[in-house]
Amino acid sequence: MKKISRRNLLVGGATAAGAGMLGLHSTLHAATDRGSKNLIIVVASGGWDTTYSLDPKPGVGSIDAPVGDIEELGGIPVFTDASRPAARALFDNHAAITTVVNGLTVQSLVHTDCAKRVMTGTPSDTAPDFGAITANELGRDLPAPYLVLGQTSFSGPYASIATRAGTANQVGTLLDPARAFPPESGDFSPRFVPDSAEAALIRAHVLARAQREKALRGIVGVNESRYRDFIESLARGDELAATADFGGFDYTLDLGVQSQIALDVLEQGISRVVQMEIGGFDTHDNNAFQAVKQDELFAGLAALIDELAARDGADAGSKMLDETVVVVVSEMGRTPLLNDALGKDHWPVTSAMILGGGTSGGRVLGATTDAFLSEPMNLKTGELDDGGGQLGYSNFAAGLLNLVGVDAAEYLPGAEAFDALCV
Amino acid sequence: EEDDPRAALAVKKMRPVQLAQFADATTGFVWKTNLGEPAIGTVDLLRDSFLGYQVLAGGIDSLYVTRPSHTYSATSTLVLASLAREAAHAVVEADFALADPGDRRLLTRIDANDTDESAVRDQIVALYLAILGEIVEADSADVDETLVLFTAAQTASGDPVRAWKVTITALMQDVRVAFY
Repeated sequence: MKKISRRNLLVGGATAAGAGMLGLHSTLHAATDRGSKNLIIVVASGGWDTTYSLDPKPGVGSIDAPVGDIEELGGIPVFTDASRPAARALFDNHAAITTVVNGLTVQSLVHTDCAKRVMTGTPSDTAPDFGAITANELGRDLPAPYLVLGQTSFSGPYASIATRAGTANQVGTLLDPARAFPPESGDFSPRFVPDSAEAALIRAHVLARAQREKALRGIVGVNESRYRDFIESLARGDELAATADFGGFDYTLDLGVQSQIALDVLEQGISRVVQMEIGGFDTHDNNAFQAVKQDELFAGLAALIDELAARDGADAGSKMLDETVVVVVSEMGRTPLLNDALGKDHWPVTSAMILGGGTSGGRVLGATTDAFLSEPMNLKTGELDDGGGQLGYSNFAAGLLNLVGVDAAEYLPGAEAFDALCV
Repeated sequence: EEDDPRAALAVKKMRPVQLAQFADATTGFVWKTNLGEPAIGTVDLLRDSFLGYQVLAGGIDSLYVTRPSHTYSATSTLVLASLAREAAHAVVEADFALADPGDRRLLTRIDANDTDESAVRDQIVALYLAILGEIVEADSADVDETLVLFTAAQTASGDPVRAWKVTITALMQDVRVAFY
């Protein structure tokens, strides 16, 4: 883990003026409401088969379930098998801080639509997801308020605060000139890389002219805020580079690598929300591959939680785990029965997990029927209730926002929040 | 400055495709990479949202990012700075490979090893016009400031060609490139 220091902030070439902004940055950190929660979003993209772990259905004739047994681990019934050890390990160690949510309906079978609904709580193409909302409310002045390491994230109107690593982690090619993309020409003769002194000269020139331009034109409309963002962003890239090693160009970041970046940026106050992603769950053939992917996911989650529990939090006496909510989602589930290719297709009911952040654990909220449909429930208590309604994506998103300290009613008006998450 | 008509105008952030067009028109540099045939091939870095920088530079991908960013962030300033560096390198190398200054794009008023102050000022004036669209006098405060940059870079490295790369890198990521 890299610690930010004045020295390594200047490695990127910030000038004395840029270093002076360190003081401004520190003030902004102190002003952020640390009583609310950080948020880590883990997306298992592709649509997980929850019968492998979170929503066991052994012996149900209408559902093709994998081999295994139901084990009650810390109050949570989990489907386990020796071939998939990571689920047991996760719940054995962390069930007390884990809430499983079953029966989450998404009302679609299309990946992007489902992802949009689960993440934003709406069917809108332009709405922000709960990560962007949380970052905007609780951390918009941070250098990288919403760090997106995967691709399934919807910025909505908050694109400027969503710092994306890029679909192929191309941010790594920007943070380190040694990892820059090769030129089209194939001419690999050394390209120009400013040394620290040259970078400082360049930064001083850019900064001085930007300050004067802001003074001249900052009185009109949004000009002032745009110039301010430009000036402050000069140092933000330096801070990002100084905080974490994003690696180079790659299609998929290992979950362990993503976790380290997430932990470092949250610990250093660079970000408020981090989105991570692991793919490969879209098993239209060979559904047995779910076992591999879920084992990888649960192993990664366990390591993440262990590290959150080990690192000190911002408040005296607390750990990062106390101050960070981890939500695990997948945009859809999978059909109850196998298809001809021994795979499973898309299904509009999925599950989610909430870990940490001081939330109640050792429980399962919501359920599915033997037809794998969502059971009606009481959204306030999480109890099954024939008089209640099915848990929908807007309910879930609103409940999550309330959990992390954002007033969901402001962003999802009319959505009845799944406040059982906050109990 | 009090009479500067720009003082009353709103600014707009350069869109990724505009940056690409600007770099090409000004320096001849087209920011592409070759990630190998046949799987990927050539990627236009400012026009590609999947493998390139279009989204990181504030653009959209019409899928996850459906609204552009109209202000700068950590990644968009990194894109601008990287573009400036790459374009500066390309145009300085290309220009000084041409013996006749009249054939060059930007460095039309100076030879590679000429560090005479008058000549450097003259060249900076030309750079302000070509890159920033600003008409400045050779003895103006703006040119003084950029002369300081060039001189410091040249003194540090002992290499005037490298000093022009530093200078053009600064100008290509200037606030008047970032916004219009």
